[in-house]
Amino acid sequence: MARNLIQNYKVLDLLEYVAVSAGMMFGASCYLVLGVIAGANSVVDIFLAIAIAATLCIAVALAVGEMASRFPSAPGIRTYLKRAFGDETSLFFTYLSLLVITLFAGIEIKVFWDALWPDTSPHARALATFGLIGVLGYLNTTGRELPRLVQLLIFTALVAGTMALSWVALTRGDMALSYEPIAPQASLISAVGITFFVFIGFEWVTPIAKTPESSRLLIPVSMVIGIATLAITYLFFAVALKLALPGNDLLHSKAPHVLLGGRLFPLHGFLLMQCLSVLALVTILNAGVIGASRLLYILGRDKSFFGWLNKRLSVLNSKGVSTASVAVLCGLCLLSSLLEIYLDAAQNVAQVCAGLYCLVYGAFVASHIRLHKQPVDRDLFRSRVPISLYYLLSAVLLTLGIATFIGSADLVSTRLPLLASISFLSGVAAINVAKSRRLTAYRKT
Amino acid sequence: MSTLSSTLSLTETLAQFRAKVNDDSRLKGILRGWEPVIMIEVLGTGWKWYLPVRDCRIAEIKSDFQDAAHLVQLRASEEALIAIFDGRFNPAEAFLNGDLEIFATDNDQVKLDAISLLLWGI
Repeated sequence: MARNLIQNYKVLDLLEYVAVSAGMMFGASCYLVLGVIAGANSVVDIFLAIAIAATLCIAVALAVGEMASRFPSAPGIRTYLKRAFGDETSLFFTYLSLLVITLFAGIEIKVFWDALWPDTSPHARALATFGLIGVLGYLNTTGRELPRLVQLLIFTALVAGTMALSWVALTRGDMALSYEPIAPQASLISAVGITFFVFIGFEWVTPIAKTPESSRLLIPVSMVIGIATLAITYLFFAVALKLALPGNDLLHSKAPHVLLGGRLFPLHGFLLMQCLSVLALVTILNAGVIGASRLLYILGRDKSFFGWLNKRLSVLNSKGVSTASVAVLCGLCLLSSLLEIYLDAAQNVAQVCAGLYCLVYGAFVASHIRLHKQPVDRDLFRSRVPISLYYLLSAVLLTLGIATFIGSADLVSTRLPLLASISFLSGVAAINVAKSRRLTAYRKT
Repeated sequence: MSTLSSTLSLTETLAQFRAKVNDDSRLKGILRGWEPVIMIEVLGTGWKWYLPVRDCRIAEIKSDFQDAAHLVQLRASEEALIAIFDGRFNPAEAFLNGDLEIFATDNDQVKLDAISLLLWGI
């Protein structure tokens, strides 16, 4: 009976890790991106794009899993890259991923308003966004967050709801004959690149291991299960969109899931999909923003930013929360949301995020290649993917990252400035902070 | 390789840490209502120390503890643990370097960090 109890707890822990890992990936913005993919590609290319992106992400997840078992409970991006490549490289990619997360949150909020309030003015949405982020900030600073079990239930409802919608669309015999794909075909490479967007964030589960044993098996496995589960969900949904809606509608729809829901269920479809959008926003903001604010706190304690910012980030309120961390994160999310509300650039920003995260995952793979051979005095989870394939994977990820940026009319007006400013800020900050840390360490000796 | 003198050194360091925590009135507020068992494990040796927190104090240091309902687990090498518990090594830096492993809820991690901030200012 004791063994059964332990096994049940392990299964519950695994489910919890899967919910956190997949919860970081699955937001309302995924519906937007899947709509773009479905609108611009044939059914075969949709399948290939999702399958290839998921396979590449699983390979990355196995590498991350091995590093997670080497450094249990550590915040992945900062620790793995620091151990592999040193302070500057680690800081650069840490800042980069934090900025991408805030852009991601901005896209989420934009898609949320597109689903709930499709016909409102940008000013009304901006005001509502202030209120939404204000509430989020208040809940964060008072230490309130969703229990992990609720996170698990919300994630399950999201996946089940999406699969159910897709199933209804696919099994309605008249759908495939009604619409011909008329949208322009995109290259498979850029389709795979943008598909990375819907898998961003699986690695954020690594610091929440409850025990050392979890890091050795449950955490790595949870990432693989999360990616595989969502790959199937996304595939069903994207194909359902392809067969149920005209290509032009898909390419230009800001809330394709709402469009599909309304098409399938004229009476209640919009409301059902709006409920899904609420769940998606809640799960992303709960898992992502709260986790990121804690990372900011610990980075401040490690003096990973500039002097005055480190001091502010390291101060805790009576609830044990760093108010400055929450304020910085909410401020950046607000800026990102306003950018997307007023410029209506969610698709472009999503492509920038996807491209940048291809590079982040490339950095993870490169770290794994570096750390793989280092001796360690414990049993590790080992990725079975040969190291030679990881060399190839890092080149593939770099190519994919570049491919998602280029080949669009919006490259110069939107993507390039955004990419350049994020990279410049991260690079300059990383060099200066690393220099300051070396100086401080030198003075101490 | 660890020697007996290193083991005593960590035990002494933990004893001094306990005395510091119990003597510091500023920590009472942080410890109020927080009663975990802090388990400190030396990597590669299996040596463990248990520090139960009761009534805003570290009650004792034990080498064995049964059925801790609320466990906070710390793991690192001996050298790192000694440096962390005598205030020479910033625990946040150790954590981000991968030198210190912490298995605890976010609230527990924040409490531990607040203790080190108040005691040593690092």
